[in-house]
Amino acid sequence: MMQVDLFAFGGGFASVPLMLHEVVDVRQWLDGKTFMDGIALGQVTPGPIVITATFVGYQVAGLSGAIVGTLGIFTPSLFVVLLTVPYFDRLRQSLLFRRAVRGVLATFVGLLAAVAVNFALSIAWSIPSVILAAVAFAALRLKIDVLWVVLVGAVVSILIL
Amino acid sequence: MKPSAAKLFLAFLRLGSTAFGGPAMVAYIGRLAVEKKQWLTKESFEAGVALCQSIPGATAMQTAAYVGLRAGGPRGALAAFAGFGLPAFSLMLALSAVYREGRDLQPVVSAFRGLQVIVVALIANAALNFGRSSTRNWRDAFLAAGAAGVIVGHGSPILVIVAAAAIALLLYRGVALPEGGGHAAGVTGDAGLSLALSSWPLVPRSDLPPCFSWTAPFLPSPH
Repeated sequence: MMQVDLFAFGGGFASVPLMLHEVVDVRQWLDGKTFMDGIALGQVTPGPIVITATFVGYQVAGLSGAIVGTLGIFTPSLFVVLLTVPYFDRLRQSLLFRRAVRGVLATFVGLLAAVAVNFALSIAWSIPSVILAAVAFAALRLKIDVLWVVLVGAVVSILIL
Repeated sequence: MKPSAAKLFLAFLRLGSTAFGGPAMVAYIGRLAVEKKQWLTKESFEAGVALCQSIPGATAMQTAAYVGLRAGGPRGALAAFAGFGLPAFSLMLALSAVYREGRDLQPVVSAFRGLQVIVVALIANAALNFGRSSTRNWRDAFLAAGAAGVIVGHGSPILVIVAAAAIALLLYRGVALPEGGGHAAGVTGDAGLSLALSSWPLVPRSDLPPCFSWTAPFLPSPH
């Protein structure tokens, strides 16, 4: 559990590929489907999506796991703020910093796309679930709030799947 | 008028239990800290948002920590950070427990079977949004494709990120990049913030997941 803090690298959705790799591929704490359930729950709770770390911790080691997982994921964020506040003005002028950040941002596109593909491959697709995915995707493109997509999606799933 | 750590904690605890997702969370923090409580100036808050957007980590949580830091020093930062995160933690804890007990019940199985499908849609949507904002030339596409290849092969994303940062130092040489940070000056603490954000540069900001809002300083200027 100690290395959970590695998660916090990208924060938010960008942290999904990192967390998935660490939790499912490397450590095999959870299977991919359980991890996806955790992400879905992370969408209906207030606050950041990285709260999925609490879910992972709980599934692995109960209450203490949840606490350690949560502290692990949030502590680096806090220290990054405390440490960079005094230097930010210089940092954002730096050409090297800007290039590195631009490169990292571009890779997140690839990371997310790959995770979407890996997730999609792990699902046993059926006609209703393809339709559900298409409708959910369309709703998200139309900027319908994620919270509603997830909640309505859960109710619809109970009825049709 | 420096608030005590306890006051910061309680204020952010309340905010944390009502702040659902999106860049809107940062707007709520601004309204609380700048307009209602006047813990810090609008300029200071905006600089903090710009900072939190360009460093790794959960942006809204970090904005809370920044406000706490400015208003009450490191103790204040910790209080605000913990207060803001606690409601999400508690709710997730409860949901995790329910999930573990009930995951074999038929309706729960059905609900999550559907939610897994929706998660695929969510992540595909995030990738698409993010791609529109940060893949603008062959260099970006090259890095994105390389990263995707490694991940589909179940390689380490952390290695990908470190390697990309190193490659980018050479790859973007001589490419004009917008100066980081400054654009976040458009952020104010009023209710119109999420509206302002969503109409801002090329990306529909409202559907940028909160984590990506730290990309804002690196998006092209609208002019």
